[in-house]
Amino acid sequence: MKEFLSLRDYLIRERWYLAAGFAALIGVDLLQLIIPLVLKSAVDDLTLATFSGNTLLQHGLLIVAIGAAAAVLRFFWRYCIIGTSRRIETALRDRLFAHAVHLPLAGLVHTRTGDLMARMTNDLDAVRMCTGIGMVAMVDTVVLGLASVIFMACLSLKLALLCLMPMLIIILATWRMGGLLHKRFSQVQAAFSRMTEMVRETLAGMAVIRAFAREPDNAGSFTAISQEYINKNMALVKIWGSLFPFIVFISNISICVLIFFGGRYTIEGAISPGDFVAFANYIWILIWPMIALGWIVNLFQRGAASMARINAVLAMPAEPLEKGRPGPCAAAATIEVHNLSFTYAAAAGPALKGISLTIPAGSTIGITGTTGSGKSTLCSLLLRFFDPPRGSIFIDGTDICDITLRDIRSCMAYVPQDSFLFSDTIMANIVYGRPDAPADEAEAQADLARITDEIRSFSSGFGTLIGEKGINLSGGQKQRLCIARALLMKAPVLIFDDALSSLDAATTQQLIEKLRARAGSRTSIIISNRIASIQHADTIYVFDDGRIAAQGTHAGLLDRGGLYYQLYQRQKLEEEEATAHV
Amino acid sequence: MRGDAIHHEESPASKVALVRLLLFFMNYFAPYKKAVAVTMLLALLVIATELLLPQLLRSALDRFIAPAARMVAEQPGRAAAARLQSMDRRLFLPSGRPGCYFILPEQLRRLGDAEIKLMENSGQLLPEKYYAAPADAITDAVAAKYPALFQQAGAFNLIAYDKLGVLEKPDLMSLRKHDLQGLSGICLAFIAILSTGFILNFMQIFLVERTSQRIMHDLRCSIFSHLQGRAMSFFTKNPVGRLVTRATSDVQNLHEMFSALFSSIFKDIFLILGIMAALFILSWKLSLVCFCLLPLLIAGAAAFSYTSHNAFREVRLKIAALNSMIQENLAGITVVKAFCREWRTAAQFSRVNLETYRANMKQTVVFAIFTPLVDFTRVCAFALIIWYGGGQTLREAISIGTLVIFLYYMRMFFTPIQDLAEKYNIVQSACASLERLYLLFEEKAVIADSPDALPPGTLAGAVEFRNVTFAYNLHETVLHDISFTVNPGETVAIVGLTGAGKTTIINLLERFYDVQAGSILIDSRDIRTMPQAFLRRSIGLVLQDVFLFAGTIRSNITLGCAGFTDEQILQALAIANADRLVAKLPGGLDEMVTEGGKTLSAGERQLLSFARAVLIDPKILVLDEATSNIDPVTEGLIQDALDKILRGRTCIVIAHRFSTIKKADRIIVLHRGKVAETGSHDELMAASILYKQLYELQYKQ
Repeated sequence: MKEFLSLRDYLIRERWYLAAGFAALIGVDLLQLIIPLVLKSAVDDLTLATFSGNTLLQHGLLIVAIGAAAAVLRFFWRYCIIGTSRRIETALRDRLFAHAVHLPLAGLVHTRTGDLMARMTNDLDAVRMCTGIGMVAMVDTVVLGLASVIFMACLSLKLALLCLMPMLIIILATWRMGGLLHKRFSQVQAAFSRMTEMVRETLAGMAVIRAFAREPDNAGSFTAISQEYINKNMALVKIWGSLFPFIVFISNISICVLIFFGGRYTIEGAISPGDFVAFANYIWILIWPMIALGWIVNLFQRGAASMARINAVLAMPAEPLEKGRPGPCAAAATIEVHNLSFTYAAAAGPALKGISLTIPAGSTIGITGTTGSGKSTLCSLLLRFFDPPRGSIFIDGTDICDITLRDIRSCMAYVPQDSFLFSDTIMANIVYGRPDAPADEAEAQADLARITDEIRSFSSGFGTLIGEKGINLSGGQKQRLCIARALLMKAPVLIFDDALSSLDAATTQQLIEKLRARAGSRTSIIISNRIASIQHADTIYVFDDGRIAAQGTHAGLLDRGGLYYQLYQRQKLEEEEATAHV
Repeated sequence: MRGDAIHHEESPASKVALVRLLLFFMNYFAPYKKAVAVTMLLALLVIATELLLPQLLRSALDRFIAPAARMVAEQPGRAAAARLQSMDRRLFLPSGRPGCYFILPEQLRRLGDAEIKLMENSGQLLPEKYYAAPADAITDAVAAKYPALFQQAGAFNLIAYDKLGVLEKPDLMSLRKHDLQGLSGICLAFIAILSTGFILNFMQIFLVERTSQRIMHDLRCSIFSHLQGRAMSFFTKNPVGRLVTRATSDVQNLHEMFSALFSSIFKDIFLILGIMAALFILSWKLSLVCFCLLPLLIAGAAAFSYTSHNAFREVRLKIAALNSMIQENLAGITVVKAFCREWRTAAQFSRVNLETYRANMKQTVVFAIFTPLVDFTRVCAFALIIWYGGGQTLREAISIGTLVIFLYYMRMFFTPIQDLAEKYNIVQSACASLERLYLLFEEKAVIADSPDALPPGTLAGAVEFRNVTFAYNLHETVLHDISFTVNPGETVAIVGLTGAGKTTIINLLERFYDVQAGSILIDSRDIRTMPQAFLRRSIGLVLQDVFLFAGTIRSNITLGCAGFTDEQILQALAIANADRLVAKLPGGLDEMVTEGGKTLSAGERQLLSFARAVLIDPKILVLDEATSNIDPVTEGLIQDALDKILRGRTCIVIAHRFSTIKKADRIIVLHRGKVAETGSHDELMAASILYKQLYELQYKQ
């Protein structure tokens, strides 16, 4: 349970809500326990005929008053305690998310996205259940359970013990069955996943199944898996389906004990008929705490496991954004790379092997090469998504490891490979890096990226939503938006990480020319598999297996033949092929 | 996850009429009519036992624990007395006092409310209560011991209720021995009914689950078959994830509704009706008084399901937004970092998080108001029972036992009502799922066998493409009027750049798609006149990306067909040069292949897919060669296996390796969706610039 220590601050902050909530809860429990006493006294009055119509009315009104007070208090405990659990959940989720986006990429690669997602959803739910309904159930069980046992014992100790005996079986049963239930439930879940996986796999491998005309056999396998799922469910329902009837059965056994012994005691005169009725009511009140007991234990066990998983994320060190010196952020920057080698944490071999290159301020360089040759790795290191070895990358003479992350990244405008855009408006996406940029400036950059006409053709223009809730953009449109987003940054260095692939040669060339023509002309690094995107660069580097295989201008490299020449020829042919279909 | 399915599949308004949906579901439901009828019957029996138990409690109280006799005093001349005279005298036991009679508890209740009230007011019915013990040797002895306390009337020894305490305990026990025996009898009956109820209840739940699972199984299997039967074009339009949701989560939703319907909704309704009936029989007046609260409760429940549905929906939407925000920002974390947006993103998230909190609180408040309200209504019912029912009890219109049982039934009455209000959401989401399934079955995209399709006898294996034109969509024609023939036993290599239409040729030959113009012939017969299963079994296909299914090596080679012996499989593996690989595995043929076959190298997967094709011993083999790099040893095995496989078969190879081209009898160069050149490697090298370029770029080592 020490996992929950990390909630201490939140609980302290909520102390008044919690105090009020628990006070209300205990109040409800006590009021609930008084009702059987009122019933008892009414029944006793009736049997002993010491009554009047007025007493009955008083009894009735008393019950209504107690009920009304209980209802009000019930509202308060729910509002206070469930509200507290919601606030803790919200605060914790805020903190988790803020922490997650600040984790270094190396850490994020380590924990898979789905896993992190699960911690922010399922695990948080489990923790909320503990802090909310779990605590309520615990207090309820203790107060209600103890108090009704005490009340019963005061009426008749012997009868109380007799009636409670069967109740103990409920505690044992829910506790024991809870574990078994959980196990069988996991088996059902596992069978469900297998079934889901089989459907997914069939759909993914449909061509193979179809080519071999194996649909009927495959349907047979699916029937078997679906049958297995039924079997697991039936195994679960054997417990699940019997648990509740069993509880009802046992609690009625208590009533039966009451009839036999309680009836006898009433006849003997040891207890009054009113006591008898009150006892029946207390047995009914006790059923819930008995059920809850086993449930609470399971709930807190699972909650603690979830809390531990959340704590593990929070314990991972975040990226220090502000650590280091403020960096130079001139209008253009010179970048030097000295003998840079880099190996990813879990990789077998190095991704970069002794790269050296100089990018003069204001120049445009192109990097090409086969897939996996290390182009994108260089890009990640420049942006310090991963830390390069010290003394290997310099901006205007300063080692980038010494500059704060914020300054490094602010001086590089990055166009990512996957054209990642957010499900938001087009405008919000363009001003992503500078949310306070004026609209006309954003539109000017969109213009530069040659996307304005298309944006204007959408019904909501720059306010059009992108993604699932809005329109779906083509690959080329996405890329140009990403370019506009980067341009608006007005950063001294512009990095295109294979981000011109969906643009045709003419657009690419116009774009690059416009960029070069702009005053102050920034340093541009264009990584591309397509020769057309980089052929106008001042210097072109050809990467092969983590090394620079060749460098020079387009013409120079073509003259030399080799990998660059081959790539060029092949792409020329393929371009013809592509245009043939349009 | 089901969370994100909700996000884009929330259908705001139903597009299909409910009647059609129900008719559709009835198809699956019909075979289980009897089982469902039995579950309903069982539910009724369970409810009956649940309703009987309180009756036993009542009997215990009224007949054995606190039975009370009263005394009636005759007062001639009064109005009510006249009626008293007219009444059945056998009801009364003459007491020792002149003009006074005892009336036993059972008979007293027969008089009715108004009568009792009248008699009480006129002083005819005296307030004292008596305990009446049937006269026999034992009770007579007790009565003889306390002559001052007892009176004899008819066959009864009577004693004032408040005097019972004066008796010595053994005397009290002998006096009330019948009551004690009666209690034991009641307890036995209680346990018998209770146990029956428990067993029936379990059987009912079990049967509902089994029936529901079977119906869902049938539904799932027919969805699966339906999906397998769709044309390939269907799968390009529908994302895999969505289709998977149909076959699994949507069916699960239906199951939840079905089992809720038959194991709790019907039971709840029966229970409510049963309790109402029982209460009316016990005392219709007290019932009417209590049910005054019912409209209030129903209005409350309706208001609750309406507001909670809205609140719930809002919560789901907010959670979906929250989840997609987490997902999106983790997926685009490099962009977040590159643009230094960490704090801003966190703040943005915080806002959505806060909105989610508010939606959740709204829901919490709805629950916080409604749940206590139901409880309060119940307490009010208690109060009414005590006040009005208590008054009735005083007038002997109802017994104390009835009063207690009223309290008991009232307690039972409210739970199912609350339960019903909460089940509303399950029904709603199941209806949405049912609609989606209905629409899925409405999807008719299919390439059907023509009705007179007949499998030809044996195949020689001649393949001909005759003026074939094909486009996947309107804008892009992939193949333009192409024609070529492959003779039986000939190996033809198809070469060309990415996008030239090589893969399309395979798709058309396998009839995954139908040509738009022209025809494809095998042994001069149009493939559209053959059954598809026959066509595909005659063609062995080896794809570029070898798709391995989760399962054993065996199941991956037979693809689930049980008709092959181990010898046949091992032989196929030997021809494909995969026998040594399998021998090396600890489990041999039964070694499990993990998801996507990640533990096997690309070359090894290639060998297994050869074995897959060889096993069916096809006349025609279609091979889309892998482009990936393969280690030299495996490469050698592959080339050697190819030699064996190609022999005696008609082969169409989409070649990516020079060694494969060299094995071909003929090469077809595909360019811009047309056959550009045909010939052997040497002929083409001499005659075609295009081929030469291709060779330089792609095949030269």
